[in-house]
Amino acid sequence: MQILRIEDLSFMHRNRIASFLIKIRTLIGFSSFFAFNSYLKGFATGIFTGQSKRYCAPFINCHSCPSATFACPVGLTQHFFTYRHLTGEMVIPKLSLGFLILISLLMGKIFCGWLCPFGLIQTLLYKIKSFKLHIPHHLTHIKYVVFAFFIIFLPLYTGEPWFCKLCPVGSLEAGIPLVSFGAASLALREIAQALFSLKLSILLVFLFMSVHTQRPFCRLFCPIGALYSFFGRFSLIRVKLDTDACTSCRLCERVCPIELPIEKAVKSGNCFLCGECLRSCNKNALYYGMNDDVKILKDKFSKLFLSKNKSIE
Amino acid sequence: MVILEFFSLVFISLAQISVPFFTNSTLTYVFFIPIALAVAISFLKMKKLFWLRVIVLVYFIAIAIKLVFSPACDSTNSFISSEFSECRSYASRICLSCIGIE
Repeated sequence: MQILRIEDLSFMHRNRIASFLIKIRTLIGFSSFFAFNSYLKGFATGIFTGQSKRYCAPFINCHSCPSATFACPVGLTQHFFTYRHLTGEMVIPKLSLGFLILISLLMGKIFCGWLCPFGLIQTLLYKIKSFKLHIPHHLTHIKYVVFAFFIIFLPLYTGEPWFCKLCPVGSLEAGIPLVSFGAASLALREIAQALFSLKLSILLVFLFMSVHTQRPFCRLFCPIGALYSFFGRFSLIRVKLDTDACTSCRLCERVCPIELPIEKAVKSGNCFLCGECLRSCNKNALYYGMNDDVKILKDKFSKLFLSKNKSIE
Repeated sequence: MVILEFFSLVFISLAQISVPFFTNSTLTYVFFIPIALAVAISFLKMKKLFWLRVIVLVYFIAIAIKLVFSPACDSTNSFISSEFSECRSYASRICLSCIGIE
């Protein structure tokens, strides 16, 4: 008979809400997709132009989709960098970059793991039974090159948003709906050029890759993922590992989308905070918690004030 | 030493309040200094400099909050308000890149 320890109960309590949310993560992902693309009338009347377009979505969500209600941070960032080519003046996209950095510092890549529609599609495709391939960890650094080259360098020096021209998310969310539905679809289909075929091919390659590898676009090429990964290492919310409870069964590593040893994954900025590892852990050794720095900060402050109080006494 | 670090933290947090009164180009530099610091900390793995990491974290959060939310409460930083307007006008057009038109 298995003995239930008090410590186990506290872990169960700690993970109870998280477990429930992780169970409905797919539902949350679909809800997010419909929330950020809720202007369905746009397919008949034209693209949404309301006030919310002043703000960025926290993930790639092409604002050219007629139903999109928020701006795409990747599109905006490139747009501001193209100003140098047009006006000769360097404009830093403070709004979109500031927003993304704020999110990554507070919550890391949680929006990638829970709300990103393209991430959800890749996750669902990976569930198809087939042979699976691992992406070597060093290849995941490609996304930083993509960010520097396609988001900063090319728009600055060519004046064109090159990532948008090749973006598979844009093809799926805006390109295909624009040429398929609505009043202007026939005209747009006629003027769509060879680049559109290239975009569709890129999309198909990523969808095919998603069946065999865990979230290939997010891990290899997503520029927002690059920014989130870089600043995510300072993130306040993290997945924490209780080394005393961990039995090193490695079940969590089998389901982890970033395919790293769990000790490294919990410290990595690449962690999607998707909670798959929490769900797989039989010992409740993994849980959502605050960055270690917060605890150290709390200790330092308490020591600081305690010593002050003692000196007053 | 700890008190010195604490005051440097407070000083940098207070410095953020004055950000809207800087010019656009100053803000650009203010924005990129912490990024440079973060790069240095991250790559040099300066784990012992805990307080420096805290300062960078607070600095980032403060400036990011300022950048995102300031237009609603402060009219002096019109350049950020204009960025909001530009965002809206750009995001309200069909980007022909989506259908591969050069």
